[in-house]
Amino acid sequence: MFALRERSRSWLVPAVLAVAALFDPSAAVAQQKVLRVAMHADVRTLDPFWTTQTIASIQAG
Amino acid sequence: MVYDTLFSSDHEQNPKPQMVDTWTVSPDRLVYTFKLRDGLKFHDGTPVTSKDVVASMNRWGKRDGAGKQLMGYTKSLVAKDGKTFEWTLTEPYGLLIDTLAKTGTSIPFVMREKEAMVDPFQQIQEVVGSGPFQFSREEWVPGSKTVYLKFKDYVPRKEPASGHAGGKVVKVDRVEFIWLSDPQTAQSALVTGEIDYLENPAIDFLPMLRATPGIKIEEHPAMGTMGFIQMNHLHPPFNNVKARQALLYLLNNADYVNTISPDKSLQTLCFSYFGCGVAMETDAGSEPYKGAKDIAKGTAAVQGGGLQRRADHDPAGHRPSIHHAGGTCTDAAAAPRGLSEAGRAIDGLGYRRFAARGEGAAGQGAGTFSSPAPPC
Repeated sequence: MFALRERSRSWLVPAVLAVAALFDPSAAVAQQKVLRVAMHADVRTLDPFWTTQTIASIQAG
Repeated sequence: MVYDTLFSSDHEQNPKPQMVDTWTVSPDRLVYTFKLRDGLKFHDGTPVTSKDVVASMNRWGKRDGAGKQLMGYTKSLVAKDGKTFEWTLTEPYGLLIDTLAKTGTSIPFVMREKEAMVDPFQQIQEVVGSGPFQFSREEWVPGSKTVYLKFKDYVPRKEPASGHAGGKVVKVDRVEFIWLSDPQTAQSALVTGEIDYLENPAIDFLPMLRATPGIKIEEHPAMGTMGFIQMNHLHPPFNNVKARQALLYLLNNADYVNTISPDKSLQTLCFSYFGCGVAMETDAGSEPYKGAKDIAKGTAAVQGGGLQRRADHDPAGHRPSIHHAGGTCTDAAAAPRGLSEAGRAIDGLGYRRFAARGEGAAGQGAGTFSSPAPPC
């Protein structure tokens, strides 16, 4: 089961940020469409064959 | 996210090609010849070749249970050319495609040959896949955040997305996995818009989330999540058949679902080992588990078996809350009758860890629920 916001605030970026991005690299990142998610576990192991942790398979796949 | 697979499963659990374009099976069903689809590229810009596939399947087949099974039927697995590989079996094995399409750990991902040649009992150091997202190592902060960037050269399949199959069409530039260990904090982050998606919200918070404008709750997978109790019959106390019989008398399926989710709309009593609402559903052989609890018989089985109480304890770390609720439920039923510490709330990894240490107890499987006051 999961819950999500139907409209992400990250996707509604004021146009002014586009101008700011010309001068500020961090603003360029702010312009991106970003999906922020909270998963059931932290990603600590990256090898999906070495570990059976579900989160390793999720991030891998 | 990072890696792609040869096959995957759609929303009805049917295997569908993913990296594979076409394949043929010989009339004697011993030789499978696969051809990779066009446009497959690793995140370092190199093309995906059948050599990468062969090395990846060999590494996966040394660790995964289903992979080991498949490799047991494998006579040879060879790259015929850059895009074609041939899988020859010692005898027909009807689950080959299904196994390659599996979506539970460990999934047969395709890595670069370089990483796939690493000893499968050692961790790879570089994460370079051919999936729709690139792992951003410089932004990775274990215990805090993991970042994935859209891989602009990824070519999705033409078919519409279905389950884990179909076209993986990316509509965002960047995905951030934010680690929030506290369920209350995670729920608040969703409500305030700090995150966009929350996997496994605690059951207790669902009414609040449902009442919050802009929050949508979906069940995934559609058939729900199923918990299991596994008795370790190799070690005490469940190496004693009397203990195993006693536990069956002392437990009741309904107690668990009531404990894990008091919300009746989320409950399903299921007595099929293969799950309910799926093609292989069957409750054959489940009669002993369907009846009401028989405390007297359970207690008698414990006493008649000469069982001893266990004094050790597994300190709880972070685990999905269904484990805590389920383990508590098992202990509440079993401990007063002499099966102390019978119900350890563990995930699959923990179960194998206990087994490796030669310890007993009944492990309780994965899930997504929570209840602070078990009624069992």
